[in-house]
Amino acid sequence: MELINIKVIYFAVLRDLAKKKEELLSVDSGTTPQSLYDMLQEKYSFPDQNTYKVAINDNFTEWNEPLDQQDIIVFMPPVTGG
Amino acid sequence: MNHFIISEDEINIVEFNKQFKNPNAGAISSFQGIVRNNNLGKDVLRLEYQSYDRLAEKEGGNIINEALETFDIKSAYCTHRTGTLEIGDIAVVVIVLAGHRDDSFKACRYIIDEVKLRVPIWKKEIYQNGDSGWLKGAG
Repeated sequence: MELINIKVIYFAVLRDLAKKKEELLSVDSGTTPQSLYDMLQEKYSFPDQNTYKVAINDNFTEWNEPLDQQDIIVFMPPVTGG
Repeated sequence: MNHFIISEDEINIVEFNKQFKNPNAGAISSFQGIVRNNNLGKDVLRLEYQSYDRLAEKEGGNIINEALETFDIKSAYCTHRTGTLEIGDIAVVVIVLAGHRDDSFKACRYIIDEVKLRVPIWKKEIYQNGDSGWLKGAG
Protein backbone atom coordinates (compact mmCIF):
# COMPACT_ATOMS: atom_id res chain seq x y z
CA MET A 1 0.00 0.00 0.00
CA GLU A 2 1.23 3.51 -0.83
CA LEU A 3 2.64 5.55 2.04
CA ILE A 4 2.04 9.27 2.58
CA ASN A 5 4.19 11.63 4.61
CA ILE A 6 2.38 13.79 7.14
CA LYS A 7 3.18 16.01 10.11
CA VAL A 8 1.38 15.93 13.44
CA ILE A 9 1.62 18.90 15.82
CA TYR A 10 0.81 18.36 19.50
CA PHE A 11 -0.62 20.78 22.04
CA ALA A 12 -1.48 20.72 25.73
CA VAL A 13 -1.95 17.29 27.30
CA LEU A 14 -1.05 15.55 24.03
CA ARG A 15 2.29 17.40 23.88
CA ASP A 16 3.05 16.35 27.45
CA LEU A 17 2.19 12.70 26.77
CA ALA A 18 4.03 12.49 23.44
CA LYS A 19 6.96 14.45 24.93
CA LYS A 20 7.39 16.33 21.65
CA LYS A 21 5.90 19.32 19.84
CA GLU A 22 5.56 17.63 16.47
CA GLU A 23 6.65 14.68 14.43
CA LEU A 24 6.82 13.50 10.83
CA LEU A 25 5.12 10.19 10.10
CA SER A 26 4.71 7.91 7.10
CA VAL A 27 1.27 6.32 7.11
CA ASP A 28 -0.82 4.25 4.74
CA SER A 29 -2.83 6.22 2.19
CA GLY A 30 -6.43 6.05 3.32
CA THR A 31 -5.46 6.93 6.86
CA THR A 32 -7.96 9.29 8.49
CA PRO A 33 -7.56 11.51 11.56
CA GLN A 34 -9.53 8.87 13.48
CA SER A 35 -7.29 5.96 12.51
CA LEU A 36 -4.20 8.13 13.06
CA TYR A 37 -5.42 9.13 16.53
CA ASP A 38 -6.15 5.49 17.39
CA MET A 39 -2.58 4.59 16.45
CA LEU A 40 -1.10 7.49 18.46
CA GLN A 41 -3.37 6.74 21.42
CA GLU A 42 -1.91 3.28 21.54
CA LYS A 43 1.64 4.65 21.24
CA TYR A 44 1.42 7.51 23.76
CA SER A 45 -1.55 6.56 25.98
CA PHE A 46 -3.55 9.56 24.74
CA PRO A 47 -7.00 10.13 26.30
CA ASP A 48 -10.19 9.21 24.43
CA GLN A 49 -11.00 11.85 21.84
CA ASN A 50 -14.81 11.93 22.13
CA THR A 51 -14.75 15.65 22.90
CA TYR A 52 -11.74 16.53 20.73
CA LYS A 53 -11.68 18.41 17.43
CA VAL A 54 -9.24 17.92 14.60
CA ALA A 55 -7.70 20.23 12.00
CA ILE A 56 -5.94 19.50 8.73
CA ASN A 57 -3.77 22.30 7.32
CA ASP A 58 -5.21 24.89 9.72
CA ASN A 59 -8.87 24.10 8.97
CA PHE A 60 -11.29 22.30 11.27
CA THR A 61 -12.22 19.03 9.61
CA GLU A 62 -14.03 15.73 10.07
CA TRP A 63 -12.53 12.65 11.73
CA ASN A 64 -13.17 10.51 8.64
CA GLU A 65 -11.50 12.85 6.12
CA PRO A 66 -8.75 10.93 4.26
CA LEU A 67 -5.28 12.40 4.73
CA ASP A 68 -3.16 13.58 1.79
CA GLN A 69 0.56 13.82 1.19
CA GLN A 70 2.21 16.58 3.33
CA ASP A 71 -0.91 17.23 5.42
CA ILE A 72 -0.41 18.84 8.83
CA ILE A 73 -2.74 17.39 11.46
CA VAL A 74 -3.59 18.85 14.85
CA PHE A 75 -5.75 17.12 17.46
CA MET A 76 -7.43 19.56 19.82
CA PRO A 77 -8.62 18.80 23.34
CA PRO A 78 -11.50 21.01 24.56
CA VAL A 79 -10.19 24.57 24.57
CA THR A 80 -9.59 26.45 27.83
CA GLY A 81 -8.53 29.95 26.82
CA GLY A 82 -9.64 33.13 28.55
CA MET B 1 -4.41 44.96 11.05
CA ASN B 2 -5.60 41.57 12.23
CA HIS B 3 -8.37 42.12 14.77
CA PHE B 4 -7.55 38.96 16.75
CA ILE B 5 -3.95 38.45 17.83
CA ILE B 6 -2.10 35.77 19.76
CA SER B 7 0.97 37.19 21.48
CA GLU B 8 3.64 36.16 23.94
CA ASP B 9 4.17 39.80 24.86
CA GLU B 10 2.79 41.33 28.03
CA ILE B 11 -0.41 43.30 27.45
CA ASN B 12 -0.14 46.93 28.50
CA ILE B 13 -3.77 47.92 28.77
CA VAL B 14 -3.12 51.66 28.50
CA GLU B 15 -1.08 51.27 25.32
CA PHE B 16 -3.56 48.70 23.99
CA ASN B 17 -6.50 51.08 24.41
CA LYS B 18 -4.64 54.01 22.84
CA GLN B 19 -4.60 52.21 19.48
CA PHE B 20 -8.34 52.39 19.08
CA LYS B 21 -10.02 55.68 18.42
CA ASN B 22 -13.08 56.47 16.33
CA PRO B 23 -14.84 59.87 16.36
CA ASN B 24 -18.12 58.08 15.54
CA ALA B 25 -17.91 55.88 18.62
CA GLY B 26 -19.71 57.14 21.70
CA ALA B 27 -19.07 53.94 23.64
CA ILE B 28 -16.11 51.71 24.28
CA SER B 29 -16.57 48.46 26.19
CA SER B 30 -13.65 46.31 27.21
CA PHE B 31 -13.04 43.06 29.06
CA GLN B 32 -9.84 41.89 30.69
CA GLY B 33 -9.30 38.30 31.77
CA ILE B 34 -6.79 38.23 34.67
CA VAL B 35 -4.75 35.34 36.09
CA ARG B 36 -6.15 34.66 39.57
CA ASN B 37 -4.52 32.81 42.44
CA ASN B 38 -7.09 30.06 42.93
CA ASN B 39 -9.26 27.60 41.02
CA LEU B 40 -11.53 24.82 42.26
CA GLY B 41 -10.10 25.07 45.75
CA LYS B 42 -6.46 24.93 44.70
CA ASP B 43 -3.86 27.65 45.18
CA VAL B 44 -2.57 28.62 41.74
CA LEU B 45 1.03 29.81 41.39
CA ARG B 46 1.01 30.67 37.67
CA LEU B 47 -0.48 29.63 34.32
CA GLU B 48 0.99 28.39 31.08
CA TYR B 49 -0.94 28.97 27.87
CA GLN B 50 -0.38 27.18 24.58
CA SER B 51 -2.09 28.17 21.35
CA TYR B 52 -2.44 26.69 17.89
CA ASP B 53 -1.62 30.16 16.61
CA ARG B 54 -2.66 29.98 12.96
CA LEU B 55 -6.06 28.43 13.60
CA ALA B 56 -6.56 30.50 16.76
CA GLU B 57 -6.10 33.76 14.84
CA LYS B 58 -8.34 32.52 12.04
CA GLU B 59 -11.15 31.41 14.39
CA GLY B 60 -10.72 34.53 16.54
CA GLY B 61 -11.04 36.64 13.38
CA ASN B 62 -14.25 34.77 12.52
CA ILE B 63 -15.66 35.64 15.96
CA ILE B 64 -14.80 39.33 15.53
CA ASN B 65 -16.50 39.32 12.11
CA GLU B 66 -19.60 37.65 13.57
CA ALA B 67 -19.78 40.38 16.22
CA LEU B 68 -19.50 43.06 13.51
CA GLU B 69 -22.35 41.44 11.56
CA THR B 70 -24.58 40.80 14.58
CA PHE B 71 -24.27 44.00 16.59
CA ASP B 72 -24.36 47.69 15.76
CA ILE B 73 -20.70 48.35 16.47
CA LYS B 74 -17.87 50.20 14.70
CA SER B 75 -14.96 47.85 15.38
CA ALA B 76 -13.72 45.16 17.76
CA TYR B 77 -10.35 43.71 18.75
CA CYS B 78 -9.06 40.90 20.91
CA THR B 79 -5.59 39.85 22.04
CA HIS B 80 -4.78 36.63 23.93
CA ARG B 81 -1.47 35.88 25.65
CA THR B 82 0.48 32.64 25.45
CA GLY B 83 3.44 31.41 27.47
CA THR B 84 3.93 31.72 31.22
CA LEU B 85 1.68 34.18 33.06
CA GLU B 86 1.92 35.22 36.70
CA ILE B 87 -0.91 36.08 39.09
CA GLY B 88 -2.41 39.43 38.12
CA ASP B 89 -1.24 39.31 34.50
CA ILE B 90 -3.76 40.08 31.77
CA ALA B 91 -4.42 36.88 29.79
CA VAL B 92 -6.96 38.25 27.33
CA VAL B 93 -8.41 41.63 26.43
CA VAL B 94 -11.42 42.51 24.28
CA ILE B 95 -12.29 46.04 23.18
CA VAL B 96 -15.40 47.10 21.26
CA LEU B 97 -16.14 50.54 19.83
CA ALA B 98 -19.77 51.38 19.12
CA GLY B 99 -22.11 54.30 18.70
CA HIS B 100 -23.94 53.47 21.93
CA ARG B 101 -23.38 51.39 25.06
CA ASP B 102 -25.97 48.65 24.59
CA ASP B 103 -24.41 46.96 21.57
CA SER B 104 -20.86 47.61 22.77
CA PHE B 105 -21.60 45.63 25.97
CA LYS B 106 -23.37 42.84 24.06
CA ALA B 107 -20.64 42.48 21.46
CA CYS B 108 -17.90 42.45 24.10
CA ARG B 109 -19.70 39.66 25.98
CA TYR B 110 -20.27 37.73 22.74
CA ILE B 111 -16.60 37.89 21.77
CA ILE B 112 -15.16 36.72 25.09
CA ASP B 113 -17.76 33.94 25.41
CA GLU B 114 -17.05 32.61 21.91
CA VAL B 115 -13.28 32.90 22.34
CA LYS B 116 -13.48 30.73 25.46
CA LEU B 117 -15.60 28.15 23.59
CA ARG B 118 -13.96 27.99 20.18
CA VAL B 119 -10.42 29.34 19.92
CA PRO B 120 -7.72 26.64 20.22
CA ILE B 121 -5.89 27.88 23.31
CA TRP B 122 -5.11 25.70 26.33
CA LYS B 123 -4.35 26.60 29.92
CA LYS B 124 -2.17 24.67 32.37
CA GLU B 125 -2.35 25.53 36.05
CA ILE B 126 0.76 25.25 38.19
CA TYR B 127 -0.17 24.97 41.87
CA GLN B 128 1.52 26.12 45.06
CA ASN B 129 1.97 22.48 46.15
CA GLY B 130 4.05 21.64 43.06
CA ASP B 131 1.31 19.83 41.12
CA SER B 132 0.16 21.00 37.72
CA GLY B 133 -2.48 20.10 35.17
CA TRP B 134 -4.20 21.08 31.94
CA LEU B 135 -7.75 22.25 32.54
CA LYS B 136 -10.35 19.90 31.08
CA GLY B 137 -12.59 22.40 29.28
CA ALA B 138 -16.27 22.06 28.50
CA GLY B 139 -15.84 19.53 25.70
